[in-house]
Amino acid sequence: MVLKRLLLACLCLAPAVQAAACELRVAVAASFRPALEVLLPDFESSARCSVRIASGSSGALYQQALHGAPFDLFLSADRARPELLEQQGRVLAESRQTYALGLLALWMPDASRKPEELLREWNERIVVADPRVAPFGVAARQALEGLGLWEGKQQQIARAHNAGQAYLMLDTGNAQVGFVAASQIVSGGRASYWLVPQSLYQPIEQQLVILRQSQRPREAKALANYLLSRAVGRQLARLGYGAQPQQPEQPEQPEQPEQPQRPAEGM
Amino acid sequence: MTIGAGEFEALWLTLRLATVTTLVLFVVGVPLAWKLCRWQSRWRHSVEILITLPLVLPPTVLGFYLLLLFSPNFALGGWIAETLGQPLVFSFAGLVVASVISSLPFMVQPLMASFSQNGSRLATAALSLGMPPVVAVLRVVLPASRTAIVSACALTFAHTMGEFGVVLMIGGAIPGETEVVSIALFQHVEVANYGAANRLALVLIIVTTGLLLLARWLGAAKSSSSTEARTLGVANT
Repeated sequence: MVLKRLLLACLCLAPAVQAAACELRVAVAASFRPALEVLLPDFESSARCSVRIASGSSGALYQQALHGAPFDLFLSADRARPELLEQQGRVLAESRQTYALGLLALWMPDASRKPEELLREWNERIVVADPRVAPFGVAARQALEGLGLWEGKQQQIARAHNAGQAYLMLDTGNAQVGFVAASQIVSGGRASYWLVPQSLYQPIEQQLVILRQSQRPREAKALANYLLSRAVGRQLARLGYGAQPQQPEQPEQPEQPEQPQRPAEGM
Repeated sequence: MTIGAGEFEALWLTLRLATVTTLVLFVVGVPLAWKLCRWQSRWRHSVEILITLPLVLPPTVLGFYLLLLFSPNFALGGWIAETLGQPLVFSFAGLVVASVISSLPFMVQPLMASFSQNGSRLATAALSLGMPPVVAVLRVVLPASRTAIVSACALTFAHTMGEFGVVLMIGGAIPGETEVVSIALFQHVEVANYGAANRLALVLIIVTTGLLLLARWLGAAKSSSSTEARTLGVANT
């Protein structure tokens, strides 16, 4: 009788124990959260490991990770914060890698005009993320500088705190022209935009690190590898991200230089 | 300790914003609080709660709804943009409107508390002695509520000095126009420029504390009891 009960209890507990057996905590920059949520189910079912997401601004997550938040993996929207964590000795050796490239897009009132012309002639507000704090802001400034417009358009620039907020200002109709992330345009399903040529700005590298305080470094590594895989790379391209650069850590597939993966016509 | 020209500009802008907001809210808030106190309607409590709502919403969310409200895509925003010739977002005028909305409870609540505690009593006395209502309010109720008025204005002013979330959403961080101290401060923090952040925070605290002390001193120059005695004296004449 007692044995039976014990067995039953074990049976009841078993799934819970199993679920608790593998749980990863991932801190992800808010802008990448939608993409991560698309990508995770495949990993969770194949690795039999559940993933809990904490999202926020890269800056805030960096501070939390620095002060001991129990994250296994940190997906930043830039490369500066992971680099800092690495310098501060908070990450596993050689875990810092670029998992996605942010692509800059110009939100336009309509698709009929040439983007450079539109920018040149536009005399109302131009929304950009703040170059002092946001990677997409830096890229927007570089693009405008490349077009020779940054100085001349200073008076028209409205600075949002990040790309997400810039998108909000445009999406609510409070401004008609501005620089945002291509991934936002894709998920918003907007048609009139311009994918700014990548020659006009430095790559917006989004990097990940595995934190030293991770309790499950092996699974965290597996998730990192999954995110860096080619299959995920293709999915990311559809979601409006650029291809990851070379990955020296994964020698099993020598990088083929033929495809400079760009989210071309699908977007 | 040095402050850059940009930071001085931000500080000056913030002071202007806080002053204008406090003045506007004083002009709007006093009649509003008075009317609400005297209003015998079952809608009164609903309106009171409505005024408190800016405290409930997180400032950035309030800012988001203001983005929608000001949007030229919708009727009101379109009308505003047409009337003013420019949209309200990314402008000083827009910040004033936003600050007035978000600081409304800080002005109206203390005033209502004071008015309903002794204002109504004094007004009734004044009216029964034949004083015209407007004069009763101006010469009896307001002087008697001096302390409450000072603290309502001080709260409004301080709240606007530190206004952040709403401005973050609708400001656009335009130097000299919408980049207030709190935004500049937050930008320093975000890029780990702690030295500049500390300096600016210190300046903000010192300036605001100084101004609030000044206000308190002005308000306390005549103690409330003596004021009430005097206004009662006025009411008797």
